[in-house]
Amino acid sequence: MTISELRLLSKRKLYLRSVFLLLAVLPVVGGLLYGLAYSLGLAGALSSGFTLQHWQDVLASGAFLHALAYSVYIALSAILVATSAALFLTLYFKKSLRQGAMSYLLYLPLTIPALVMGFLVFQLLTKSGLASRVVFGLGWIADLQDFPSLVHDSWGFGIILAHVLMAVPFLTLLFHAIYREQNLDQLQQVSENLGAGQSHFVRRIAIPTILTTAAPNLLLYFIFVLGSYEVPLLIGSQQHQMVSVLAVQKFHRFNLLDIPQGYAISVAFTLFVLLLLSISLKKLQRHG
Amino acid sequence: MGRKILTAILATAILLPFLFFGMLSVGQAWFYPSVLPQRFTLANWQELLAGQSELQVSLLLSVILGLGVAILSTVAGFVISREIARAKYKNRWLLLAYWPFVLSPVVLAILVQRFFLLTGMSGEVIGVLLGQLILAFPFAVIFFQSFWSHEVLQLEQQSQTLGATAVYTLQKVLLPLARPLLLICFFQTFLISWFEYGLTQFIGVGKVKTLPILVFKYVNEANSSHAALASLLIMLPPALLLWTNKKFIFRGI
Amino acid sequence: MLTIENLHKTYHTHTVLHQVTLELPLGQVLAVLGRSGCGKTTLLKTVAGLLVPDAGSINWAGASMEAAPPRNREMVYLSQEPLLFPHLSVFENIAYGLRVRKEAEVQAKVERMLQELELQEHAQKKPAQLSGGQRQRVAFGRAIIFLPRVLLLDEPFASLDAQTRASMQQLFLRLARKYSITALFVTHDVKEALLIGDRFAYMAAGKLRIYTSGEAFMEDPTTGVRDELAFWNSINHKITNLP
Repeated sequence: MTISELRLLSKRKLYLRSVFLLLAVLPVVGGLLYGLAYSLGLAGALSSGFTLQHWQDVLASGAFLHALAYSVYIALSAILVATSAALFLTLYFKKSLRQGAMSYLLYLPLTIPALVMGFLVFQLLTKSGLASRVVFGLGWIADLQDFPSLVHDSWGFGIILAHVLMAVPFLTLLFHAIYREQNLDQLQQVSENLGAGQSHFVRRIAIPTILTTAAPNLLLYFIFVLGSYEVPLLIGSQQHQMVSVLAVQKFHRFNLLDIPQGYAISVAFTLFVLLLLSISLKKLQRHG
Repeated sequence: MGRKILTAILATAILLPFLFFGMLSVGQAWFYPSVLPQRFTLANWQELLAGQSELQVSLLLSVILGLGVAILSTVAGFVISREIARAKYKNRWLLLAYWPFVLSPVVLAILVQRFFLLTGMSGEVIGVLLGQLILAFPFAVIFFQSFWSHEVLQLEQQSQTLGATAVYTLQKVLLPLARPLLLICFFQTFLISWFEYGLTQFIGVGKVKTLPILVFKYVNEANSSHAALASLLIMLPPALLLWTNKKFIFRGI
Repeated sequence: MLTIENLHKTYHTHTVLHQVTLELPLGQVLAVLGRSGCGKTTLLKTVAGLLVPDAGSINWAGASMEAAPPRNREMVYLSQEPLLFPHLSVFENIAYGLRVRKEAEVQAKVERMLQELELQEHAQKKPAQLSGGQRQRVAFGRAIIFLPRVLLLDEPFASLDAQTRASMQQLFLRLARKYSITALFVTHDVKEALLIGDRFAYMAAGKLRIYTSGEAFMEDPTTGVRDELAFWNSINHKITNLP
């Protein structure tokens, strides 16, 4: 290779890598730095020099920590329920997932985005929703006020349900793919050959294999629910907010003093997610 | 027997959203406690065909944005993923690509909004396109990593020693080999744009009315029949894509 | 004539090519014997232009190849895996080098080559439908059809079974004579080296030793030819002494 060719090659390399940095890295890093500067009073319309006031306000009011804890509760519950349901479906419908109507039908829910799922759950479970009408028709309730509050409730039942409904088909398809990729059918034959029963195989081989292989995806899904915005925006409760909703609200209140706090929340949440990601990925890599 | 009942329940649950939204979109006067609306009309759907209606404009805008995001991120993702796959510190580069991917889109939008305000792209279609690219492009880079295997590298070298130029190799070897993945990436990045709400709302400041923005607007106006119609418009195209290839929607592992 | 002088290459602190020097006249096959990890793949890839050497020169007919990118060197690297283009038919795989050069009479030339390789009836098949030996034959035909300057063969038959391997060696010898191929043939198999080579070399730890004659190659204890001979003699001895 000639010197000029080498130079051309490294020029192209440099060029391609800068596009990557510009499009993928700069938004996050630049945004983080700007958000940090704004929340520390170093940038923005109200900047008056360095101050920790906004961070103190955010942390002292407890709103951020409360929202973070609530988000973790929602995400954990949704992932736990969805993973159990998906495990059951994968193992119970092993054969019909491979071919036939079910192998097609299970993909259909993936065409429903979070916003639409929120709307759907609302229309189904609100006091005047479809479920309430059916139950009324059956004579189980006498008035729509008798129907329990399942959306906008403080336990986040509606939010969790919406996320579970989105996650179950996705996780079932994922687990099913793992089941086939890891040749679990063959392992089952080996296991039977060694004298183990069906339930022993499921408990000791199938479930651990699926869960450890899917662990990175489960983690990403957990983080995805943690930062979810559309669903809690539509059917979340008034008292308990998830982090994304809280952050956006700070920008929509038309109180200029709220904006640095909005930045502080966004920066804190971003750092939390990145920290969570890097710690758990390292752990997962070590065990995987 | 139990398996059959469970299958039937599952199938019903899966089809319910489509049927329910279908009913809402053609129903009028859906008063409590009746399960079905009192009248049915195709008026909402006809609105779609009428020129310049809100739904039609928004559908068109969503399609254009989706195509733009899909084409740009697939092409750029393909070319740049090759560079990343061959980089010395490949894993460090990839970790960077995961950042925008795991961040809540709306939080990302908050962090970058200043840039869009300064450049005057806030509230513009081009701004939303760029914002959605920030989500779709890293996805494409990660997606194509599996393509640039050692075997593909060797095939590339083989083509070179047989006398082919880089362009010839790209045309005759790399692109044909990557075709199925290119298609999958195209549709998946299209869907990232097609489904996106939080970031679109924040950067588009409500002026760039894609279908998800419209759904939210109708829900806020308690206009459930229009909201259901707009929801169906979002759900039906990917559902049709499923007939062509399941992998366009979900690729497994 | 291919002339290589003082070729040197290191990875970090590990020297893979140590002052490698060789001359290869037109139409001759240099058999290089060496175990895996001796630097033979690096040597071949460097000659092909796929790797850049730290020092040394590669010349063809007196002209330096340093500035020539792989595609202009006409020195084809063939590895243990056939590396056929999976989306192209057998016919199109063989035609590849001709199409790249926009040569005329592609159809006739490829058909002749298919006949030579006894692959006529497989012309329209995809590589995945072929056996290991057939694939290696396609790779071979694809490399020699445009008459490159040098073939660089990196253990090309190592993954084939003994029988296929023997017939491939015969095919190589026949075609090498017919097209008067100039080749560097690397193998770890003593018998293969003796069978295929016009000249012989031994490579270990990045160093290449060239032998002046076949006898010198067989005499040298490091090549293992003598051990091989001794083994067969002892077997022979055993059989003839059977009661």
